[in-house]
Amino acid sequence: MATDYDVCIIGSGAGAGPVAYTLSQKGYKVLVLEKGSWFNEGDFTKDEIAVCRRSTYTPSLQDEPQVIESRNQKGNWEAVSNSRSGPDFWNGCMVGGSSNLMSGFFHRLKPIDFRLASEFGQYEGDTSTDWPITYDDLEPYYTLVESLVGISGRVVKHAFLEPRSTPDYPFPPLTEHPFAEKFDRAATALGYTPLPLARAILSVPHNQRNACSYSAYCGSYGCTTGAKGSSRAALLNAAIQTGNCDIRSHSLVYQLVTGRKGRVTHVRYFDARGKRRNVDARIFVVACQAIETSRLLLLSANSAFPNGLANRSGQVGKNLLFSGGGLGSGVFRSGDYPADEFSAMNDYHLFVNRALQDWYVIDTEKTGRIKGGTIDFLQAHANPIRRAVQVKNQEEKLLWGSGLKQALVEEFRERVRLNFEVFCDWHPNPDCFISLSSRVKDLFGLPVAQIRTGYHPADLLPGEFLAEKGKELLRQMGAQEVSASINGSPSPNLVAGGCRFGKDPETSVLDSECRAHEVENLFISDGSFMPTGGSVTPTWTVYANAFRVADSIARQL
Amino acid sequence: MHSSRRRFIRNTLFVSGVVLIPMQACRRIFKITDPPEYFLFNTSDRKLLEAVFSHLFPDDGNGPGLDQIRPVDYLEWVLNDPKLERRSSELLKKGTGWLRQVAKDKYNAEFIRLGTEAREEVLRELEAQKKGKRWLSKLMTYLMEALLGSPAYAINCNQAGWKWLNHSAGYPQASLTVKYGTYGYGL
Repeated sequence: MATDYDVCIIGSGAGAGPVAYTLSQKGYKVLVLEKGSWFNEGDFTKDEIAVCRRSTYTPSLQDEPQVIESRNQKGNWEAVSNSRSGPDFWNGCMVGGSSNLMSGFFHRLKPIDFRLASEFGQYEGDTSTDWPITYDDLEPYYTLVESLVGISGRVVKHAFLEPRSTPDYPFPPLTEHPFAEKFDRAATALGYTPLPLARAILSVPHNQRNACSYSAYCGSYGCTTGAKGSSRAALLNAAIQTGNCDIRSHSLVYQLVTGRKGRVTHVRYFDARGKRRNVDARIFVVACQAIETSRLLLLSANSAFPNGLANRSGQVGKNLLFSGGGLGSGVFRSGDYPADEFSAMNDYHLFVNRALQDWYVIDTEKTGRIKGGTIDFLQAHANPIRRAVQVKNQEEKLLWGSGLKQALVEEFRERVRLNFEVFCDWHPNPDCFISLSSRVKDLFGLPVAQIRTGYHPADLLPGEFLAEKGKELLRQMGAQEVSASINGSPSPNLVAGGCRFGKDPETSVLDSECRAHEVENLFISDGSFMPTGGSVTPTWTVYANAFRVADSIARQL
Repeated sequence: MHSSRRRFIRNTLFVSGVVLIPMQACRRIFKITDPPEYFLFNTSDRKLLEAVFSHLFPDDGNGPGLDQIRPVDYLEWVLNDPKLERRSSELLKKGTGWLRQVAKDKYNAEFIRLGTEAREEVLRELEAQKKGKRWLSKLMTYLMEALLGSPAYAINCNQAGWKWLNHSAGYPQASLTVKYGTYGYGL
C-alpha cells in the first residue's frame, strides 16, 4: 500500500538527525515532525534574559506542565505540577532539539559501561541490566559521529581509554584557556592523567559550517556560526539537501495509531494552527527525548495495547535514567597573580576542556570495587545575571546596599571560578519512572508526563569519591574556597531510559536494534533505549546509536 | 490570553525601538497613550518601589545609577508578560502593601518619608517575614536582570552595568525583532 513517506520521525534532536540523514542519503522519503520552531544560526542571540531567564525555547509551564514526584519531609512521594514549583524537564523544543543548546562535552562510553550489572553486580533495589550489544558493535558509529557531527579533540592514552578504530579526532582541539596548562601541571604533580576533553564543536570550518567564534556564550545558547554539532546544523540541513527529507515544525504528535496487524499505520498531530492532521509511513521512529517518548507511547493506548503502545510488558516509562554525580568549584583571586596573568584567567572566551578519568573503576579498601566515573573541568558560564543573583544570595540575609555593589565588583573583577562536574552511573530503580498524570492536562487536553525522580543510594559513594579528587585537583592548582555538592537530584538536561532495549520482551521495550518487541515497524532512536547511562554525558552515544538504528531500518525497508 | 500576548509583543517591540535611539534610551519605556490597565503599579507604588531600589542599590559613586538600570519600568514589563506565573505576579503586586504595613507598624510613617537607617530597619524586618523575604529576593533578582541584561529591554542603558563590571557581553545581542516575547516556542 502506498504511504506518504517511507519513514516518519517524531522529534528532531540527536536521536532523530542520524536517522533522517542516513535514510535520506540512501534515497528514502523521510518526514520529520517537530513540535517546536525552526531556528537557524541567524535567529540565535546571546541574550541571557531570553535564553536562560525565561522559557523561550521550551513550553510555558502554565500551558504544558509536567508533574514531578519527589519525596517530602516524611519520606512519602508527593506529586506537584511544575506549573507551581519544581524543576523543569523540558529541553530545547525546536528543530534539532536540545542538541542546539548543548555544551558539547563529548565522551564515548567505555566497554565496561555495557556490562554494568555483570561487572559490578546488582544492589538491592537496582534494576540495571547489561546491554544486549557491546562496545564493539557501537565503535564504528562513534567514529562516524566524529566526522559527521564534528568532534574536536586530541586522544591521550590512559588506563581507561576506550578502543578506537582511528588514531585521533578528525578536527584539532579548540583553542584552550590558560587554565588548561595550570590543570595539566597540577594533575601531573598529583600523579593523575590530564585528559583533553573532546567537544562537538568545530575548531575549523567544515562542509557549510563555520568554526567556533569563541563567543563565551555556548552551553544553553544556540550557536551563531554552526560550529556546534547540533542535529540541525550537522545532519538535518544535509538531509534536506538530498531532496528526500521534509521537516514540519510546529507539529505536535499526540498519537501513534495501529491497524489490525498491530503495526503503526499513521500518526496524528496538531499543526501550527492547531488543526488535527494525519500522516502515514512504512516505518515510524520516535525520538522526542526520553520523557516525551515514553509519554507518547502511553498516550497511544488503544484496544490492542490498553496499557500504552508496545507496553504489554508494563516496561514503558520504567528504568528512567539521569546522570549521577554533582558539582564542585574553586575560586582564584586577583591578588594572588600578576595583573596580566589574572586578566587572562578572567577571560571567558576560550575553553578549559580538561577531564579526569583515572577512577572510572574505583577499587579501594574503603569502597571495594565499584564503578567510578568522570570529572569534567570548565569555567562557569559567562551569564552575568546568574552570577549577580548568586552574589545577592550568598549570605543568610540578602546582601544589598553598598555592600552588594562592592561584592559585585569583587565577583566580576577580582575572582575567577573554575568548576567541575562529576558524572557517574544513575542506577535504574523502581522509584524512577514516567507515567501519565491522572489529574493534570496540557492546553491540548492531553495528560502530562508524571516523573518520579528517586535515586539509588549507591549512586552517592562514587560521586563523593570523585568530588574529593576534583577538590584535590583544584587546590593543587591554587584555588581557594573549594567546595562540592553530591546529591541524588535528577539532572533535567541529561535524561535517558524509559524504553530500554534488551533480549527479553518481559523486561525491555525494544530489541537490540531498538525496534519495539511488540510493534514491528516502530523504532525508538533517542536516549530512551539505554538500560544504563554510563559514567559520562550520553549525547555522543545517542548520536552513535541512532546511526546504528538507521542502518537497521535501511535493511528493513 | 491572546490579546495580552499581542500587547506584550507590541510593547516589547516598542521598547526595542526606543533603545535603538541613544538619546531616548533611558526615557520611560511605555507610551503614555498605552491603555491605563497596562500600568500595574500606580504612582504611589512606583514612588515606593523607586525608594526601595534606591536603598537596595544606593547612589554611592560606585556603579551605574538607577536612571540607567530602570528597575521599576522593568518590573512593569515583567508583570505584563502573559507567561509570568500567577504566583510571582501576585507576590510582586502584594509586596508594596506588606512594606507599607511594616513601616506603619514600626514608625507610623510612609516608607518614602523615612531616613536611610529607618529604611534599613524596616526592610530587614520585612525580610524576617517569610513572604517579605520572598518579595525582596524577587525584587533583587529583577534588579540584577535590569543591571546586567541586554539594553534591548530598555535596561542596562548604554551597557552601563556591563562596563562597570568589565563584563564582555556575547554577540549578537537581542535586537528589535529577536528578543524575549517576539520569538520562541509557540510563536
